[in-house]
Amino acid sequence: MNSRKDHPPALAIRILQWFCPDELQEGILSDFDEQYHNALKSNGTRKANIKYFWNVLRLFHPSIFLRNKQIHLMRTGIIRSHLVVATRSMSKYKFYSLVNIIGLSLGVTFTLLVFLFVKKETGYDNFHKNGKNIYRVASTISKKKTGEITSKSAVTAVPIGKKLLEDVPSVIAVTRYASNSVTAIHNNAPIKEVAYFVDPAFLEMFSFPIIQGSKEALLLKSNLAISKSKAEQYFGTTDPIGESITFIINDTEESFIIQAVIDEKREESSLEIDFLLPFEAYSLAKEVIESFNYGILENYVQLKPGANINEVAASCSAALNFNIDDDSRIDITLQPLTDIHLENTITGNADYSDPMKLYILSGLAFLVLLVSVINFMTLSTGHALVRLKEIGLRKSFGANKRMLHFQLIIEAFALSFLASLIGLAFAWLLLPLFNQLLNTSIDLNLNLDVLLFLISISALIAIVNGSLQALIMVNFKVINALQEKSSTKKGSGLFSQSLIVVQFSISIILIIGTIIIRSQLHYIQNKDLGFEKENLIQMSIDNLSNSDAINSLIDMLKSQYLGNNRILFVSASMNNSTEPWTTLTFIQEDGSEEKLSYNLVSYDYLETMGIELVSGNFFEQEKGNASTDIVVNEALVKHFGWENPINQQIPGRDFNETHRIIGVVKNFHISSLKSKINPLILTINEETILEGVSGLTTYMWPPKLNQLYIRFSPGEIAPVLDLLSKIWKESNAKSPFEFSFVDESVALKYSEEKRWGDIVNSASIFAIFIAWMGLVGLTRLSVQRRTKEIGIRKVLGSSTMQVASLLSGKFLQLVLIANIISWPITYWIAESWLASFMYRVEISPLIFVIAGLSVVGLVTLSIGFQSFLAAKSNPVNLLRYE
Amino acid sequence: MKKTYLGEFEELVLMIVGILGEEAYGNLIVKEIEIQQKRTVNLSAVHITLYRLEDKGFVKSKMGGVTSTRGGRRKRFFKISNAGFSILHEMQEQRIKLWKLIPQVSISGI
Repeated sequence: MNSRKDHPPALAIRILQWFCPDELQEGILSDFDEQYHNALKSNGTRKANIKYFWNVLRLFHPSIFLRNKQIHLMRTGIIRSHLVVATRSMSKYKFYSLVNIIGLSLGVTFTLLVFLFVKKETGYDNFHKNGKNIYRVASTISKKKTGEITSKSAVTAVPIGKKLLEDVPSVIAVTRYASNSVTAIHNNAPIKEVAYFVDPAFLEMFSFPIIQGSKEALLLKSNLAISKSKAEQYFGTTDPIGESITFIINDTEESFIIQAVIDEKREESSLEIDFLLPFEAYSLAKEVIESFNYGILENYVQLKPGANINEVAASCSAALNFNIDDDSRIDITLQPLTDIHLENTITGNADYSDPMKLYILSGLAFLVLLVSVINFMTLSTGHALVRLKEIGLRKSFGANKRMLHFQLIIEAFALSFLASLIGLAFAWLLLPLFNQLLNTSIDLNLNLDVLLFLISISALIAIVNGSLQALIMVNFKVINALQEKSSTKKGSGLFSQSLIVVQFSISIILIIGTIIIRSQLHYIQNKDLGFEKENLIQMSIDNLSNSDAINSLIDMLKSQYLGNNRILFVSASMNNSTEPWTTLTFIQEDGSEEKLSYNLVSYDYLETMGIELVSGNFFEQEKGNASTDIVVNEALVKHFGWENPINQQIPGRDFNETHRIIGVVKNFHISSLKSKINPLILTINEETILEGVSGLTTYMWPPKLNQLYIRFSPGEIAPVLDLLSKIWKESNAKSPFEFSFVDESVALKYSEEKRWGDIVNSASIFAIFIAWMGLVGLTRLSVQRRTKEIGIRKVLGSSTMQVASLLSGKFLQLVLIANIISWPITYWIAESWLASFMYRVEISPLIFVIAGLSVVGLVTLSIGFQSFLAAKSNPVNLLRYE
Repeated sequence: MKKTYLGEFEELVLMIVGILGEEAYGNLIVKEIEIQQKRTVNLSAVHITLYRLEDKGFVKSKMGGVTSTRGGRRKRFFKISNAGFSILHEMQEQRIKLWKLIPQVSISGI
């Protein structure tokens, strides 16, 4: 190799000479050299080399390499001969080739699909021109005295961005990004939408393609930028510039003129931009806008190119800790825009996904591929022995090891490339299913990435496998090979046996994994939640700030609804079954902080929800409850250790006879079973408990009743919905009629678990199917190899059963070993997964036995059948084989 | 009537070859495009285009003499042919003809 420094890389020149017609080479190379030497001077060796390679790569163009008078891209003669031999042996051993190719192509299919998914997930937010310099501001707020961290979030205060722009010189642009649910009024019909309030710099910093209008679209308070899909949905065109939409934003109704239509890049962007409104349109209280204490929105900053992030983050923290008297401190971290999609520890409002998902999926893909490659290996080494004669002959004609090696690799490559193409076809067929499974939308385009992936995966398989075959076969003595004495060394037999064990261990692990995920899912979906989730509808009502207005709306709806005999109970609640419930924070008598769950409800809540009362009473309209009454759950009673909770007061420094407990309800779950049941307080009037409370978190502000629960009698659902919607529309409510069935929204909470169950399930189907095919192929081979032996055994008086068990016994042994290996591994994995659940199934040993037995059964069935056929045949036919 | 069309890049390369006269070779063309158009193009792309132009008969090429510089490889020099010149001319006329057809509205708003 030429290693002198001022010479272009020899490998690149070789590649060029390989495909470039001779008559053009000199002219091209002289130019390449000149550019290389120029680059060498100005950019250094590395850059110059890269550029040189790139030039060579770019020259690989049909108009160049098709210019060759005769295609001599490869040592085509010998390769063609190898390929011919490969095709002949493939068609001679059709069964073996079929099993081999299908097994491999299934492995490629699964890996390719996962590759596409991973590529999509890691490619989020890459289209912004300034993307490398844009960061999201995340803050960690901690107590100065104790160092206790009180909040860690990328949802930060409103004025932070402006402050950073003023005080930190490296920050050159900032924008706020706040999301809020609003009601859009279009053609007089209200539609629930989410609007995003941003600064004018938003469209400058981010490079969302603007289809119509200009980047200055958000300069005026009454302007609006709309996404392409929303423009089509609302106006049926992508050019609705000048049209207007009216929004109800927190009670106030305002109309906005569309100034720009933007491509929202839904599949590539973590930031959603359906309706971009100027930040001034976000009617927030002055106090909230000016305070550094409320986390309301996301702040994005753009730094000078080349700025050191750690230094900038430190000066950001310094800029925000200007109030020395404050007893808490803020630490700023900057999250690169391109990492936000896979950032799941400190999150904001932007859409994100769990990076763990990618690791697990890649792991599964690796396992499935491993199973299929093992298949290929065991089958080809087994099969290679059949071809010993050919190898021997080649050797005796003077083929050296390298040539034979090359031949085997070429054959393996031909096979694996064919398998890759079939795998591509399978992937294309399975893509809709896979998209549905992962809740994503991947396209399968034959782009460079996919092709490179397929070629490199085939090359990898070919090299691993071809080398292995070569190792086993090429080292054979010629004389043994010609006599077809398959007296392999014991080592290689052990090797392929351990490969089979690995293969089956993986399959069994996946099968048991599937069963455990399924049974956990079944458990949490069917566990008694403490309330009756069937036949229960939840609907959100207008978010009004006036309590009296809400109450009269609820009363009106309730009396109207109850007029129908299908509707049994109606009541209202502050929290719903999808969002986390309100948490109350108050100071205990000893000065420590205590946190309890809280919900504001209306009369009939227990009957509507089907929650049991344990002792005391619930609120009743007729009795005229005192405004001090509260109801608690059993968890709270247990928490404070009361024998008789009735008439007790919750201990707290600032509670002065403001409330007393009138009843205790049975524990019930509010969301998924992943979290345990917290102590809970129910009141009918928010003032009862709010006095004396030091903090309150809620997903909806202000904390008012905003959910209506309707319990209806079982039966046809459509008439109930019609009724609800009709009365809703007559009530002059401002928001659209939106409802959900509680059992469905609870099931939705487990959709992620269900998805994982499905994914592991499909991986295990792939793995077991591939492994099983391989085993069928192997049995067939071993039967072929031992034909004579079977014949002799039969002549000497062996029964069919004896011969069959002789043939299949070995494989069964291997499967049993695989079982023993995989059980503890699976147990460990399953235990760590189940540990994330508060309520979980116990792992039953029965699952292991069932999974093990089913694999054993499958193997016995397929091997046994073949062995039986072989054993049943007439010894005369078997022995005549010579 | 069969007519040969030129792509944008082909036209650019052909023009540059015309500009450079007898001395045009790949690397010089790349540099010239950079100077004239402030546009960085790949050397291989230029080469591919040159051979395509040669196939169409718009440029002619010949090997240069032995050079004293490193490697001692000879350069391939390109020269615009009469056919190349006339197609450039024709394209220019076509373009001007079309340009004149555009209503001359005020474009001060841009």
